[in-house]
This record gives sequence, structure tokens and C-alpha cells, in this order.
Amino acid sequence: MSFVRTLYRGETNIDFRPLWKRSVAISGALVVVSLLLLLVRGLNLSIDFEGGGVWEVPVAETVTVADGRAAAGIDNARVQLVEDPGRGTFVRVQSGTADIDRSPEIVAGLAELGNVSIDEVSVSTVGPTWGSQITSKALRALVFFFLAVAAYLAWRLEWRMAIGALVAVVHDLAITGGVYSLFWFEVSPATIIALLTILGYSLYDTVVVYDKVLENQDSPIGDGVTHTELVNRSMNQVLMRSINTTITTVLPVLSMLVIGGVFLGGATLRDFALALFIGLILGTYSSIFLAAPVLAWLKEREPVDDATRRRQRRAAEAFGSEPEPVEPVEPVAVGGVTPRPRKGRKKRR
Amino acid sequence: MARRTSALVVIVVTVAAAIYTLVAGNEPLLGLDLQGGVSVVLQPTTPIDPDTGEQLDIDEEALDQTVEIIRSRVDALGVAEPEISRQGDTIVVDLPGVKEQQRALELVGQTAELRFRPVIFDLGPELTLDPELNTETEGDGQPAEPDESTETTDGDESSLGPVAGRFAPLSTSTETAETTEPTETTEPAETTETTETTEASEPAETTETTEASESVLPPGEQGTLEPEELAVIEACSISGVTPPEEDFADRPVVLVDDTGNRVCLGPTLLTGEALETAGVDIDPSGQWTVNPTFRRGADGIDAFNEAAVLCYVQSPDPVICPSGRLAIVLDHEVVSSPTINAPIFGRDQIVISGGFEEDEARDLASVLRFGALPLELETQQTRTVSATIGDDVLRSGVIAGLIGLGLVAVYLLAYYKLAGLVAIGGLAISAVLLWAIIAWFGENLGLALTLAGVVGLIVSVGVSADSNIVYFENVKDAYRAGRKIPTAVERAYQSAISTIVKADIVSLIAAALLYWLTVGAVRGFAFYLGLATILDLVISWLFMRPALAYLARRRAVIENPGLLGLPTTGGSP
Repeated sequence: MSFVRTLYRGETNIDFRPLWKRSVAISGALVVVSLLLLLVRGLNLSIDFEGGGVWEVPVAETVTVADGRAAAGIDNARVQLVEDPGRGTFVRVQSGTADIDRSPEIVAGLAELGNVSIDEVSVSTVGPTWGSQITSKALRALVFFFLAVAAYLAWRLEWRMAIGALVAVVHDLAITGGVYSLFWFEVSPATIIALLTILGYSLYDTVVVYDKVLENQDSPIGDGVTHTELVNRSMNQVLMRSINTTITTVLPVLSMLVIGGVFLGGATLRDFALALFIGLILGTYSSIFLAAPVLAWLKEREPVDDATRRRQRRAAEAFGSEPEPVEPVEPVAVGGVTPRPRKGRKKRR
Repeated sequence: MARRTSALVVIVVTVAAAIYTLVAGNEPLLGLDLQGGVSVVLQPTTPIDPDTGEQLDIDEEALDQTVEIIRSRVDALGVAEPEISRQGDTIVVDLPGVKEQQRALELVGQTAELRFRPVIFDLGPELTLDPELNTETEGDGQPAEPDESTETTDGDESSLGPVAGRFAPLSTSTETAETTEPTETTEPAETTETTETTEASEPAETTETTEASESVLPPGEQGTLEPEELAVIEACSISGVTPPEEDFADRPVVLVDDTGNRVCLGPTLLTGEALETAGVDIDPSGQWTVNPTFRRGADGIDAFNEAAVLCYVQSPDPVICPSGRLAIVLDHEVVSSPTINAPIFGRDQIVISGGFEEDEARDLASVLRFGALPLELETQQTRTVSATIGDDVLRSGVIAGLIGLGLVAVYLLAYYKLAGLVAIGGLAISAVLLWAIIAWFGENLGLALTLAGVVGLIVSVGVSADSNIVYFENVKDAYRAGRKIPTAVERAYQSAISTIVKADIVSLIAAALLYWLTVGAVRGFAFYLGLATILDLVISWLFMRPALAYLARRRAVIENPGLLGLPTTGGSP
């Protein structure tokens, strides 16, 4: 209870340093395992990436897989009975690109099986070259995205922060991929969209954390402390915000997952929500437990640079001019935004 | 104070947008995954230079023209909000809410050049003569249908309908139909009597036609036909059908017609470019007919009449048109092969009859009208979503979204107390503006909201809430550092907005890149994520601070900072 209260009041003083040692090791191990899984086991890619066709029709509960196969008329097709909560049973036929041209017949056969009109049969076909195009387009978008974000972060924050943020993002994507590989969840375009969102979140989260570090670095809080300490202190300051943001973003996603997965039908919704859920949790974790130590580590390796010297000088001046350390100088507002000159500065207390 | 006005302006704009949307009756246009429908992705096959064999660039103009043709073809389907867009070289056709999905798929998919080829021989049903060949050619979408084809070889008129339709001049259609009736009925009958190959030349030996053929054909030409004759014999002696990659316009081919019969077709006599338009009608006997209109001049009706004469006279020469039928071939498939009932036609006086159903007639007319695309397209992706599934997804999406929003609101209120109201206010403003914008886009630009878009929006709830959280936490820091509440609210804003802008710009970079570099669903997601992020920036900028500042100046709050979720004992005196 008292911890919750200190957390609530933002007065936590957790020493993250020992935690970081462990978390970085765990993250590293998870990433390695995930990459191995991705390499060895691969991903359960939907037809959208490899080409092929999927046909789905609502059927009576008495229908069997064999009936479905017979109705579709494809011997080597993958036929499944899918139970969708709230919507009943579906026969799902999945086949390769060779059967795409036979789609009208398959549709007719399945419509007869389900005793519905042909327009109740859901069809999805993807040509053999299209899937690879989509994949390569998505990968290209990803590369450009990384470059653009790295450039932006290097310009607006620091290049070390750009590296730290990208390390965190790659970590999140790799582990999400690993989870998908391990549990053999199907990777659909919805999953890709969700992955891209995770990417956005993870970066967003890291930016908020780093921005605090930057702010403190230029303010008296950063005076006379090591980089690691500085990052540690900043982490304590943004901890509550990270927790709250995660809760507010996870709540809608969780509701999608539960509504889409348990109560109402909506396979697509579930696809989205699952990847988002895993990614969100990872994104928050990585910004605190990976992006932060990576930054601290990088900064410790930086030679005593101008910024540090400036800080030290400022600290000296501050102590020289004002007795009270609480408000020695007007703290410089963040990220290069200079304080607005105000007419008649307000009294502070 | 200017800042307070900005918050008022935001509220006024929001209310105005809501009223406008309601009054104008704008409603969000739902994407096909939310209301059912059909989506097709097409890409042009890279044209190859026939002489050098090099790949040619895809003509931009031709691509735009193709989009226009597909648009008009889709309009004929009566879809309310078709969305046909070019994304690079890719053409995306989205038909939300289309009822006859399978028909729509067929219609959009038919994209190759329309060719008129003379029918040289009927080769009989495409039986499983050579099973290996059949499996080989399975890819072209004409599997053997033994049931139907045996029926047709019986010479049963009714089942022959669509194939053995008739091209007749409009004005004299009833007359000609009658006069040619005998030829027509004997012809299918002969198919059963005679062997496959000899049959074709037989009807041509009637007196009237031999005369005509002499008068039509320049005498010298018959001698030069040797190589073509050979080509026909060679092409038509194969046991299966011509594979699509060997289906050249200027060569004879063997194709399967719509009743499962293999037919030997001569070189293309004219293409769909000769056609101007085509409509449907009901003839005096109550039959649905198709009425094509050809263009004027040498490339239009004249070309058709040249072909018509050749077929009408049933020239015995195997290279020309011994069967008297002119096949309409689209995309490697014989759509119809009506008999030519007159030698000369007026360009808008042509009737194709043949016991069509209304749908069949309309589809044939569509094919004639829009069959000829300047590019050959390949279907890359098709997707149909039935209306029931669309409804389900929409319902669960909306319910999930509302529950999610509700939970976020409760949490924010519980944690930040009154300040939570500011966050909720911001979310509400954002929601109303998004609704108005999406409805406006749907109504005016035909831009649909897809499931991916809905997810983008649900996700943006988190981002918006976060902007508020970043700000409130900063206020808490400033307050703890000893500032009075109103001052803390002002000071904290400086660092908060800087963080928010940086983080939002990262989101915007993501949205913009995804939008430009991808196709399909990801684009929809990126669009709405970008839109919601921009709104978040606007609201953080104009609404969040003045709203919180307003609360911070209330006496009750100053006396009890806990009302803003601030630590009650944290503030220095």
C-alpha cells in the first residue's frame, strides 16, 4: 500500500541499476530464442503472403471435414471446421494458387454444402506474385521507417537515443515474432498492421522516457551525477506515466481481445488485438528495462563532452550565486525550447 | 486571455462540426470488411515488345484509362460506393455492399482484349480424351464439364441457346431469323451425324453461299492462303485446348466455349475496339437480346461487316468462317458464338439473340461494352466478405471500442480525479471531430472506414490519453517541486508539449511512410492513425492546457489539490 502511495505521488526512488543487469540479460536471451525460433520454425503465414485461396461457408453442426473436402472438390486442400463464438460453425477450405481459377466451382460446392446462397461464401484469393510483393513492400516501408525515425530522433534528441530506441523496437518486434512462431499463431495482414502499431508505440514510449532524460540532463538534477544515475532518476520520474499510459492503451486492446475472441465473432479483430496486446506489454517493458540501460551504457562510454562540462560549469555557478539548491537557476525548458520571456515574472511562492 | 479563447474555439468548432454532420446527414462510409463486399487487386502484365522480346514500360495513360473502364463496368453493377483507385501500377477495386458478389468478381476479373474470331470447326465436347493435357490446362479455368457438353451435342436447341445465338440486323431481325431457321437447325443436327472435322465444310456447299464467296473474295487471294490453312489445321489438331500463353490474336486457336465444347477458331477478325457500346432489349417474341453498336468507319462497322460477310457466306475455305458463326472471345474464353444471319449490318442495327436470361444478356452487353481494356490485367488478390460477417465484425468492433473507451474514462477519473475530466473532454472532442471528418470523407470523397481503420482509431485513444497523462505527470512534478497549482499547470505545459510533439511526430512519420509505401489495408490504418495523431496535436495544443488551467483556478481545487489527483501532502507551503 505504501509503495502504491509513493508511486502515486511520484516519489518512487527505485534503484533500477541492478534490475537492468538482469532485464538486459533476459531480453538478450529472449531475442536470441525468438530469432532461433523464427529461423528454424518460421512463421505460420496466411495465404496473403504465399498466395493461395481460402473459402469459408457457414454450415450446420453435423457437417464433417470430409464433407467439406468433398464439397470443395480439392483433394489436397486443408479443410477445417471453425467454431466462431456467437456465429456458429464454419467450414474453412484453404488451398494453393493452382486452385484459384476453380474458385467459382468451389464456391458453388460450398454454398450447396452450407445450403446458403453463393454470396454467403467468403472468398479470399491471392495470386502467387502478389504475396511476395506485399511482403517486400512492407519490408521496404519498415526500413525507410527505421531510417526516418532514427534521423528524426538523432536530430531532435541525441544519436545515442536513436540507437537505444531502435534497439528497443527491434527487441519488441523480434520477441513478438518469436511468440507468434512458438504458438504458431497465424500471421495475417492484420498482424502486420498490429506489428507496425507496436513499433509506433514502442518508439513513442521510448521518446517520452528519453525526453525526460534530456530534460534532466540540461537541468540542475543532472548536475554532478553519473549518466547512469541520471537515467535512473529520470526513470523514476516517468515510471508512473509509463504505467498509466500502458493501462490506458491496453484497456481498449484488451476489450477488443475479449469481445472479439470470447463473446462475439471477429477473427480479424482478435488477430489485431492479440499482436497489439503482446506488443504493448513488450513496448512498455523495453522502454524502461532495455532502452534506458542501453542509453546509460552508451552515455557512460561518451568522453566528457561539452554538455557535461557545461553542466558542471553551470552547477558551479549556481552554487556560487544562490544559496538554495532547490531553485538555483531557471530550469531550461526541454529540448532546446528556450523559456519565453515573461512580463513580470510570477512570484513562485 | 488568448489561451482560454482557443479552448472555446475548439469546443465551438466541435459542436459546429457535429451539427453540420447531423444536418447534412453525413454518415461514415463503411469499408467492405465492415458491411460485406468484394475487393479485387489487379496489376497489368508487363507488356513485351513482340519484335525484341524486351519488357516495355507500362503506359501511365493506358493505366488511367483502364481504371476508367473498370469504373464504368462496375457502375453497371449498381454498387453504391465503388472505390477504384490506382496505387502505383496496382489497381484496387473495392465494392463495399455489393450484393451479387460472385457476379461482381467475374465482371471485374474479365479484363483482357475482346476478340471476334470465326468459328472454324466444332470439335465436340472437351471430354477427358487426354487426361494429362486436361490437368495441364486446368489453369485457364475451363475444366471439362461432361454433363453439359453431352447435352449440347444432341443438338438440343434450348441448351445450345447462348452459344448458337444469332447476329441479326435489327430492322429485319424477325424475317432473317425465319429465313435462316433451317440452316440453323440442320447445323447442330449434323454435328451428331458427321464426324468432327468434315462436318464444317458441308453446310458451305449450299448453292447460295458458293456464289457469294466468289463475289466476296478476290480471286487471287485463295491461292495465297496455303500457309494459313496449314496453320489452322495444325492449330486445330491438338487434343486439348490452346494454352493461354499461346493464345495469340493473329493465330488460330482451340478454346472451350461456354457449354464445354471445344471449338477451333480462326485468327481474330476484329477486336472490342471496334465497338462503341452495347445494350439489351427484349425482342417481339419476349426474348432478351443484346444490341451492340459499332463505331463508324474502317476500324468499326466496316471491319465488322467484312467479318460478317465472310461468316454469312459460310466460305468453305477452312481459314475463313465455314460454320457461319462469329465467336466473341474474352480472356481466353468464348463468351458467345452467334450465327451471322445477314451479310451487311447497320452499325447500330445489330441484334444478338439466343435465348438469354436477363442476367446473361446484361453480362454479355457489359463484356461487349467494356471488354476491351488497353492493358491486360492480372488478378492478384480477390476477397469477398459476406454481409453477415461484415455486420458481426462491425458490431464487435463498435462494442469493443465503446467498452475500451469507457474503461479508459473510468481509469482516468479514478486516477486523476477532476483532471481526468480534461482528458475525457479531449477524447470526446477528438471522437466527435473524427466522426465528422470520417463521415465527410465518406460522403464527399467516397473514402471508406475499414476494420484496419477502426483499429487505428481504437489505438489512437491510447495515444490521446497518453498526451494527457504526460502533461498531468509533469504538473505533478512541478507541483512537488514546490509550485502553486496554477503555476505548476503553466510550467509543466512547456516540457509536456515538447514531449508530446516529439512523440506525435514519430507517429506521423510512421503513418506517412506506411501510407506512401504500402497498399490496401495497411494504408487505411495509416490514414486514420495519422488523422487521429494530428487531432491529438491540435487538442493538446489548444484545449488541454486552458481546460486544466481553468480547473486549477477554482477555489475548491486550490484548497484541495487532491481534486486534480495531486499528492495532498506533496506541495510545499
